[in-house]
Amino acid sequence: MKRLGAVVVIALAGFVAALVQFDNAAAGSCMEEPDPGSSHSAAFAAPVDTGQESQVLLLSRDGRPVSGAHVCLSTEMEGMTGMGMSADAREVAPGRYEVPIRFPMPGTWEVTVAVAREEGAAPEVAVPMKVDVKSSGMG
Amino acid sequence: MTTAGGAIPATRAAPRSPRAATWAAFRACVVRDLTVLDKNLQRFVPSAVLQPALLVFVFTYLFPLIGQPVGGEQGAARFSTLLLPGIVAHSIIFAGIFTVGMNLMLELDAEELEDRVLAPAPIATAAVAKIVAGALQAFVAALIVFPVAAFLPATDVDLQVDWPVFLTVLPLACIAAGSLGLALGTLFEPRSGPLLFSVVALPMSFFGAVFYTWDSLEPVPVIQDAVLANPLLYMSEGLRAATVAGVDHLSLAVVYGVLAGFAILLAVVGVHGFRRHVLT
Repeated sequence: MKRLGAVVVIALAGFVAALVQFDNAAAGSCMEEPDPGSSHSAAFAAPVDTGQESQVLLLSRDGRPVSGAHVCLSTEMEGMTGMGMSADAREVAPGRYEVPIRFPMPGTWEVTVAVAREEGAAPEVAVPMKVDVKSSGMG
Repeated sequence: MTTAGGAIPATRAAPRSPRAATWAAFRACVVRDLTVLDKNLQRFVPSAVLQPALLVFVFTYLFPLIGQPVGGEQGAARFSTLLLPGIVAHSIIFAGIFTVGMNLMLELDAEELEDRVLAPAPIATAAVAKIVAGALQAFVAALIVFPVAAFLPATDVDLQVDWPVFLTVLPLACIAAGSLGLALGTLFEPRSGPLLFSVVALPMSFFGAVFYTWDSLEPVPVIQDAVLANPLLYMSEGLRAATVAGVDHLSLAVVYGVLAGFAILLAVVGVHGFRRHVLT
C-alpha cells in the first residue's frame, strides 16, 4: 500500500501547510472573542442605517478618548451568523475612527471592536456593542 | 530427517481463541479494503479533490472575482471561513456514501464478500471493518480539503482550530459517515446508484449546513427543524465549532450525542442489512 501511504503523507503535509496559511490569514483578521468586562467603551457617533457606506466610531477608555490605536471591527447580524463582516478603522480625530463598513440589512447587529496598540499587534481588548440598524428606505 | 517407523509427526497450530480469530479477521478485512483503495487511487483522489475544489473555486474565488461575492464585498471572507468546515463535512459524508456505500452495493451484487464472511468470526466483523475502512478513507478525504481551501479562495480564510474539539469531532464524523455508507450500501441496489445521488446525497448536502450555519435558518423554522434529521448538519456544525471563532453553532453536547447516536443507529441498520444480504 505504498501509493496510499504516499497520498496520506501528501494530504497530511497539505493539511499542515494549510494550517500555516490559516495562521497567517488570522494574523490579519480581527475576529476576537468579546471582552464584556473591559474599561473601554465604543459607540457609533450617529444612528446607523443601511444606506451609509461608512460609520464613525467613538472609542474611549475610562471616559477618555483612545487615540493612536489600531481598531478593527467585526460584525455579525443577530441570529444570522453568515452575515458577518470585518474592516479596519482609520482615526480621523482623537478617539474618532472612520470604519468603511456598510450594514446591508436592518436589524440588530453585534459588533466587536478589537483594539490593538499598533497595526499587526495582537488586540489588547475586544469591546462588544450592539447596534440597531435602520432601513435607509432606498431599497 | 526421518522418524522411527517412518511415521510423520502431526503438526498443528495452537488453536486461536474466538476473540483472537475475530480480531485477525477484522484486521484482514480492513487491510483488504485499504488495499483495494490503494489499487483504485486513480478514482479516489480525483473525486476527493475535485468536488471540494469546485465548490471552493466557484463560491470563494469565482464569485468574488465577478463581483458577486456571497455575503457582499465585506462579508466574503466571513463566508469563505464559514464554508470551509461545511465542505470538510461534505467531503466526509460523500466519502462514506460513495466510497463505502457504492462499493458495498457492487460487492454484494457480485457476491464478492463470501470469502470474508467465511472467516472464523461473526459476520458483523466484516461489516464493522467496512465502517472502519470507510472512516479512514473519509479522514483522508477531509484532510485533502484543507490545502484546497487554504490556497484557492480569493479572500482570506480565518480559521482558528480548537484542537480538542477538532480531534474528537473529526473522527466521530468519519465513523458516522462510514456507518451511513454501510447502511446505504445494504439498502440500495447497484442499479439505483443515480437515485442514491439525487434522492439522498444531494438533498443531504444542500440541507446539511454546508453553505450556511444552522443558526442562520432561524427565519425559516420549518426548515430549521427539518434539517435536524440530517447527520451532515451535525458534522458541519461540529467542525464549524472546531475551526471558526465567534460563530453561533449547535451545542457541542448535541453534536457529540447525535453524531454518536447516528453512528450507532446506522451501524446497527448496516450490520443487519449486511447479514441479511450475505445469508440469502
